[in-house]
Amino acid sequence: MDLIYTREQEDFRMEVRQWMQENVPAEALSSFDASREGFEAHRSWEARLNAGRWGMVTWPEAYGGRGLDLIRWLIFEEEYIRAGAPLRVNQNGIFLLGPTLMEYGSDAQKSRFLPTMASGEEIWAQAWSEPQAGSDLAAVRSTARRDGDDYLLKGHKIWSSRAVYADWAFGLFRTEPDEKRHKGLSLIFFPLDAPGVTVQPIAQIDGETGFAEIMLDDVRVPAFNRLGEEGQGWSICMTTAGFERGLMLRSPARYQMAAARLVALWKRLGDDAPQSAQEGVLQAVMDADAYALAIYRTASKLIAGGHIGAEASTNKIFWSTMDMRLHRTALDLLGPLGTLTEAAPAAEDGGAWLDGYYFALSGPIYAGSNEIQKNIIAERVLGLPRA
Amino acid sequence: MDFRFTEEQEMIAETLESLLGDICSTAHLRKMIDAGQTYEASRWQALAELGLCGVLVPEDLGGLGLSEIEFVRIAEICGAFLLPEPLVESAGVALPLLAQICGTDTALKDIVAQLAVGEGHAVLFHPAMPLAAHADTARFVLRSDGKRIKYGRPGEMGVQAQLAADPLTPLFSIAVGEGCSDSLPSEQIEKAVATARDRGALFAAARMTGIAQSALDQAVAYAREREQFGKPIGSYQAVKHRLAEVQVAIEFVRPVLYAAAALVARGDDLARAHVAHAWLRAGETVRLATERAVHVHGAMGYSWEADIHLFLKRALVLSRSWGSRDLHLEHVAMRTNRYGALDAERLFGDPR
Ligand SMILES: Cc1cc2nc3c(=O)[nH]c(=O)nc-3n(C[C@H](O)[C@H](O)[C@H](O)COP(=O)(O)OP(=O)(O)OC[C@H]3O[C@@H](n4cnc5c(N)ncnc54)[C@H](O)[C@@H]3O)c2cc1C
Repeated sequence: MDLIYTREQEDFRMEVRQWMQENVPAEALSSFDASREGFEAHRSWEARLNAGRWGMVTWPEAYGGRGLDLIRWLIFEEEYIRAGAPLRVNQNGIFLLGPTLMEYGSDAQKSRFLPTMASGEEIWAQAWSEPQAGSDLAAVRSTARRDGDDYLLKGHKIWSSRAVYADWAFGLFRTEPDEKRHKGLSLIFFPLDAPGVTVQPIAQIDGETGFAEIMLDDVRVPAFNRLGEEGQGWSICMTTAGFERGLMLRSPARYQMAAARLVALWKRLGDDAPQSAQEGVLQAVMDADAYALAIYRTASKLIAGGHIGAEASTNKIFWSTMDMRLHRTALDLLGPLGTLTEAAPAAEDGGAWLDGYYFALSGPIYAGSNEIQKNIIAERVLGLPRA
Repeated sequence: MDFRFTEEQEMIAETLESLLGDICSTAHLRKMIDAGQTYEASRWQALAELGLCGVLVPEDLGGLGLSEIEFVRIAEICGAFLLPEPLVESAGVALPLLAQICGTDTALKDIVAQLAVGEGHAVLFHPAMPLAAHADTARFVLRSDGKRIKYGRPGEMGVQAQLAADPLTPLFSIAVGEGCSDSLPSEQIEKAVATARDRGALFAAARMTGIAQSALDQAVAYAREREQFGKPIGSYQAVKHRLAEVQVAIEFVRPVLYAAAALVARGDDLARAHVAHAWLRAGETVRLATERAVHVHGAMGYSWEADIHLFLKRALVLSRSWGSRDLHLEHVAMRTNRYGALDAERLFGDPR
């Protein structure tokens, strides 16, 4: 065990830090959910990142990456977040679909989709959930009917993040209508502006648009857009879900930064901070450290050829719970001020803690609810019998 | 940067695990309890033959010259098997301290060499450890107020038997001011004692982590077997989720524990904060694990016959050793007060 960054890793950190210092926009971009302008500003940022070859550092060079290992990716993320760089508007593409494509895609598919993903020219949404298929994802009803070299997509997807302005979606469809549950499903890509697609924005808990409903009415796409074999959709989705829950989507630096902000808030409040909140602040620091250490450990294992298994589920429960706890502590520190929205003149940190609290509330729900993760841990890690 | 144990480190752990599997099962422990024993010489001998009594003692003083990274796994396994003998207390804490302060004193160096090969054990009393286990049979009792060290034989030091919750952890108090030899206070002693205190808390955390895993394993095994309403109780979600939560907690103690060990081994400034974190997390986790394991066993869990109470009681004792919640929270607060805009790059300390 060797917990010291190498000289090369430290140099890499400095290289990222310098690039970020020179390139991160001085003013925060407006939300990518609230308006087309905000979305496009984030797309331009992705293009700038890509021009510096920082789009996705772990990808092979041929697809716009740098072929770096996961430790460097963690260092990159630490510096990215330290610099206050914008949220990744293409996160469902680069963190979820990208790695899945790398594993299951043909060379032609990789060449077609990965470079434009890295550059932000094509921004992706995930279209899995349906009104009757949430936790029970295998209950999806949307169909893909084969028609020569094409598929015709039909059905109703919902809760699709960033689908309002995104360009493409990767969806889960039933390719064999007679097969039940996990069988006969396929993962198929479709452009969100294709004829037959209707996207209906849905306002979130804070009143802002964040996700959308997608109606598909005989949407024609080439069979080339199917990832993996027909009927392999479920196992491919579980691979993607592993990335979503486990490692990529929620890198540790995000929580370390949130904890650092919480500490700053606590210090700023000084004697005005309630005594009882101190332990929550320390807990947030410990949680962020524990999560980071756990992820470095997982990264070491993966670099040595291991696979991400059930850690994905334990990680998901941990980051979502920690995020809730952290934001609850912030609101407790602030007392009545914590309930002010960003428009309020007296709001601390521009109302960010309330926004963060709202967002944290969704953590235990999306990416497979925490109850579902506990079932997975109980059955697959602990070996307890199915219900 | 590689957060994996080396093959040699894994091998030491596997060897100890298989040894304790053979000679330290709960059936063995039950026999000791029935016979009113808390120490088995043959088991101590077996541990000594593996060199485990002198893991942290430098080679020139007769030990293996390994580090806290090796010992943290050893302590975790000792915890998991509820080892009654004071391997962690002696080889993990008291003996390395003695080795650090013996200097050129040849009589002390001889004692270190003998203890390193398992000819007896040493224990340390400290303000954070006012009740030490196995002090009556120790060859060497050390006592420190954090600044000075006194040492001597148990009789000379005035140790007094107390009766602890755990039938296999004989605890002793020590009379204030007794002792035959007295060191002068010095910066070097103070530093060595502080490190010993960190090791004490670190290895207590490791043992608690091992116990948490064992308690979870037992609860799972029981939940798979025991049927109610025509099904194994482990198929009910209320049971599943409680146990899954324990698993999550354990997964997030281990990385902290191992990083803390690496930082103590390196003598990093941040070591103490990570040790405190590991101690706090391990304490919460072992409480969760043992209390839930008792609960999942139903009335059986409340009986003397089921083994689970042995794990609960050892955890009770360990989670109150080597410091208090307040003390360790204070150590985390000290780090937190230095917490900059984003302290991520200092997560592993400051090696340079
Ligand atoms: C902010 C946000 C963004 C999202 N983005 C996307 C996206 O981009 N693409 C996409 O496809 N989906 C997205 N989703 C949807 C998300 O995947 C689903 O919300 C999730 O799978 C849960 O499904 P559901 O909402 O239908 O809840 P339900 O499945 O109806 O669950 C309701 C409650 O019941 C519990 N429950 C359900 N089944 C069980 C069980 N077997 N045992 C115990 N408890 C159970 C759940 O834990 C939950 O608390 C998003 C959701 C949110 C909140």
